[in-house]
Formats: sequence, C-alpha cells, structure tokens
Amino acid sequence: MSCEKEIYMSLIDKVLDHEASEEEQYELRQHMSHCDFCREHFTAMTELLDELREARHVTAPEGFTESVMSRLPLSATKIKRRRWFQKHPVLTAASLFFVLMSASVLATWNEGNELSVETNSKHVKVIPSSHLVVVPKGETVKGDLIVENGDVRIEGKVEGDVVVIKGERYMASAGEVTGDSKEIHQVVDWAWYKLKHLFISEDR
Amino acid sequence: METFIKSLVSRVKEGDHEAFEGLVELFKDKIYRLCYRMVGNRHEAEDLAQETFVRAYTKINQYNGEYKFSTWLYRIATNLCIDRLRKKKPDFSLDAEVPGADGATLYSQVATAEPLPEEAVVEKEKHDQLQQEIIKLPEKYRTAILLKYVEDLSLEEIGKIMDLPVPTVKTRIHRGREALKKVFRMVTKSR
Repeated sequence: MSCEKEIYMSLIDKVLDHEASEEEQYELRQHMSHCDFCREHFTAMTELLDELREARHVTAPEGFTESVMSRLPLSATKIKRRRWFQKHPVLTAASLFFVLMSASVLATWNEGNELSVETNSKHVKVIPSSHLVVVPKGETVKGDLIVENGDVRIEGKVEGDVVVIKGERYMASAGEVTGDSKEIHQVVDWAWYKLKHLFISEDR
Repeated sequence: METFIKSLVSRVKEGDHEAFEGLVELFKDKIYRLCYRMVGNRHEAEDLAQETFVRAYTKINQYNGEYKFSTWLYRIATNLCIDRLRKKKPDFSLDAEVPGADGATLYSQVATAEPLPEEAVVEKEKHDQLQQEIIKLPEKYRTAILLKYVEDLSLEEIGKIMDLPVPTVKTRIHRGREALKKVFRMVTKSR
C-alpha cells in the first residue's frame, strides 16, 4: 500500500507541475474518485498553490524608483575616469591647463570685432567704418604696424614688421615693407603670435 | 521585450542614468515582491529591493548577458535577502517582560486591530498566515517556492538564480510545498 501511495504522490506532483500526460491525469482522477487521502492531498495542494499565486498582488511602494535613483553612486565610467586622473596627476594638470588656456584663447579670439591699430607713426590713415588701415602713398611708417580686425593697404613704406590679424594685407605696387609681413587667420597662429609677443615684450 | 531590456542595459553600461531608471520601473514590483515574501516585512523589503538595484547598477559591467537580465536581478535579490536573514537577530518576543515595568509584557503595548468587514479580515488573515508560514520555511525551500509560484519562473531559471541543477530545484519545490501544505491545511481547517 505504501508503495502504491508513493506512486500516486509522485503522480500528483506531476499533475501539479503540469507535466502529466492525458492518460496520467485520467489515472489520477480515477484513483481519487475512491481514495480520500489522495483527493484531500491534491485539493490542499491546489489550494495552496492558488494561494501562493495570489501573493503576486504586491507592488513596490510609491516613490521607489526615485529613492533608488537618489541612492545610485557616480556612474562606473565616471569612477574609472576619476581613477585615471588620480593615477596621472601631471597629465591631469597639463590637460586641465590646456583646456582652460584654449578656452580663454578661443574666447578672446571670438570676442570683439573692433578694429585696433598699433603703431608709432601718425602717418597711418584709419577708416573704422570699412575696417581699413591705409599707409598713404609717399608716407613712411617707422616701426611695426599691427592691425587687428581689419585690412591693411600699403601704398607707402613701412620700415618694420606688418602683422594683420583677422584681415587681409594689400600691397600697392609702390608699397614696401622692410621687415616681416604676415597675415594671421587661424586661431592657432594667433595664439602662437600672442604668446611669442608676450615673451618678447617681457624680454625687452 | 528582451531586446528592449538589452538596449537599456547597454545604455546603462555607457553611463546613461535614465536608461537605468527604465530598468528599475520594469522590475521594481517583481523584485520588491520577492524581497517582501522572503523577509516578510515591507520596510525591510523596500530597503533590500533598493539595495538590489543599487548593486545591479554598480556591477552592471559584470553582467555579460549569459543569463536574462531579470535572472541576474533575482540572483542579486535572493542573495541579499538570504544574507540579511542570516545576519538578522531573532525578533524579540511579546511574552518577554518589559524591564522596569513590574511584570508587564509587550502584549499590553499592542494596539488592537481596527475592525474591518469580516470577509476582508478573513482574506487578510489567510494571506498573512500564508506569509508567516512562508517565512518559517528554511530559506532554501522558501527561495525555490517563491521563485516558482509567486514569480512564475521556469525550473531552469530558478536553477540559474540559485546556482543549482534543475533536479535539485525540483526537489526543493516539492519539499517546500509539502511543508507548506501541512501548516496551510491547519490554518484553513481552524477557520
């Protein structure tokens, strides 16, 4: 009898697990029609499992997601980056310096479109409305001529360097520049020029 | 759905905070419910469920897609719950005397439950009873039973979560429900 009971117990498990075939289910029903013990066991089990499934009706409390999000640490990639910075302090300092420098350089480069002229000579003609600086014919400018945000037309003579920043330089056929002459359009050139200029003027 | 979850996971791996919010929304009920059924206390369950998501977030790079994301989450949650249960000190008893209270017990401190419609009381009691019986199960049976019947997972998935071969999972489910049946019968008969 105990052996037969074992068989039906495992058959009940099979049915409850939805693993029993049609024949097996039929067999169990036949058996339960005259066996109170198995019927009771099967009913109790079914009731229990239904009850357990009822336990699904639980939901997370309100504000759960917000709480989780506020508890999150910095993202993993941020932490990795931070570790890298800690490992390479010199590179970090250098790159930080570079970033800040280029930011300020760029800001200065982009800011202001006002024509500015740097020269010792009174013979230079400045026309702000058309962003133009003219070295008139027959005149001689002694020393360097630096023009920012404007074009330069040289009809006379410059005894020194001519630098045009963010502008064009036009030479009349009679024009003459004894020193260096250059136009600066690129921010890198400009920064380089400013930097050089800074050190040179300090040297002087 | 699985592809959507996968895309959320890979966005989180790239450091997308909002994608993680989506994952929490998708799984919060399941994880909270499992924690609640495991520890039987809403407050603790909330804490454990939140901890599950925080862990998942910090270890997201360890998730390699070998399992379903939900399986991985359940794994974290069950491990956290089991750890908590093992560390937990036994609850104090209501029968214990309150020191300096001249022999009074904590029973005198328990508020009477508000009267509710009788049916609701019965329903509630039945659920609470079952929950209490679930809590009494050894944790290895409890985990298997909850994952199977409350979370409705396949034996294979439960095996992955509990790190057990499928036949062992099956044995645990059978033993667990057998143990539950005995007490459950007593509860329903006593009514």
